[in-house]
Amino acid sequence: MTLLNVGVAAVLLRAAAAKTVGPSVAASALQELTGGRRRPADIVVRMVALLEVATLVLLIAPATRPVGYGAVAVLGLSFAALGAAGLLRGSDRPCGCFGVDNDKPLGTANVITGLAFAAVALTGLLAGPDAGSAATAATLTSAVSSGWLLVTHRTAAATAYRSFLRRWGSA
Amino acid sequence: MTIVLACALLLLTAAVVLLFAMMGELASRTSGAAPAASTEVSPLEEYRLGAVVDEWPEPLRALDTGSRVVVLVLSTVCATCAKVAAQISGGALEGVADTVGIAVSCAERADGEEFVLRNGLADIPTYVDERGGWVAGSFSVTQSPTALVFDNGVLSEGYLFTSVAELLREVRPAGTARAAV
Repeated sequence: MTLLNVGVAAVLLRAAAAKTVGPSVAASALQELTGGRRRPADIVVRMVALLEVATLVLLIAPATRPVGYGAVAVLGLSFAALGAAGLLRGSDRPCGCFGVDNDKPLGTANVITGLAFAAVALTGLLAGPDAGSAATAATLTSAVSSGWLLVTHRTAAATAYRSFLRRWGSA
Repeated sequence: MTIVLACALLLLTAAVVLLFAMMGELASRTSGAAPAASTEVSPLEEYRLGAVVDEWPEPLRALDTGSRVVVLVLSTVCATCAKVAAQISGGALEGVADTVGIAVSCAERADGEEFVLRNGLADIPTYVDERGGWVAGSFSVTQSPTALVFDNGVLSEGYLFTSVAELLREVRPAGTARAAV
C-alpha cells in the first residue's frame, strides 16, 4: 500500500507543479471541452494544483491518510470524467496532464490514471491507514519523484554528468 | 528528527520539480494569452528587439545576405530541443536551408559538438555557442528552443516553438515561397 500511495503522491506533485507554473495549458484544454465557451481562469487551475498538493500531504501522514484517500478518489474520478469527455468530444488540445511533456489531449490516459487513483483510494480505505510512517512515505515520494525526473530528462542528466566528469578530470 | 529530515527532503524535491516546470520541461508550451490557432509557436517575451548583428559567427556567415533569415536556438540540456533537432534532421528545413541557421547553446564546446553529431545536424550551418555567449550576450535570449528572425541583420522577431513546420509558416523566411512547408 505504501508504494501505491507513493506513486499517487509523485504523480500529484508533478501535476501540481505543471499546473501552478503553466495553468494556461490545462485551461485551454478545459475550454475546448466546453465547446470553446469561457476559458477557465488561471486561478481555478492553480486551485486544483493546490488541492493536489493538499492531497499529497494528507496521504503522507498516517493520521490524515483516510481523508487523503477520499481526496484521491474525488480527483481520480474527476480526471477519469474529464478524460472520457475529451474522448467523446475528440479533444486535440494538449492538456499538459500529470506534468508529462507531450502533446496528448484529455483522453484515454486520463481515464486510466483516474480510475487507478480511485482504485488506490478504495484499497487504501479498505486496508486502513497503516501504510508506512510519514517519514517513509515522504522519503519514498522524494525518491520516486527524483527518479521520474531523471528518467524523463535522461539526456540532460547524461550531459550534466559528462560535463561534471570532464571538469573533474581537468581539475 | 527523521520526520523532519524526510519532510525537508520532500520539500527539496518539490522545489526541483517546480524548477523543471518553470523551465517549461513538464508540459507543452503554449502562450499565456488567449490560445492562438497554433499552440506550437508563441512570441518570445524577453529578447533585445532591434539588436544589430555586428558580425555573424563563422558557421552562420551565409546568413549575412541582407534578407529575412532565421536562427534557431537550441540547447544541449533541453528535452524539447532534441525533438526539434529530430524534426530538422528529418528534413524540416528543406527548401529554406539557405536562410535558416542553428545556434546550439551549451556549457562546453564538446557538449555542443556532440549534440550536433548525435542529432544529425552536421550538414546544416550550426554555430556551437559556448555558454550561450552569442545569443545571450548579443540578444538577451536565455530560453530554448527559440527562433530569432533577422531582417537585414536586425533582430525583428523572436519566438518560442516546438514545431519547425509551424514556425516556418509563421515567420516565412526568405525562400519559403518555394519551400514545401
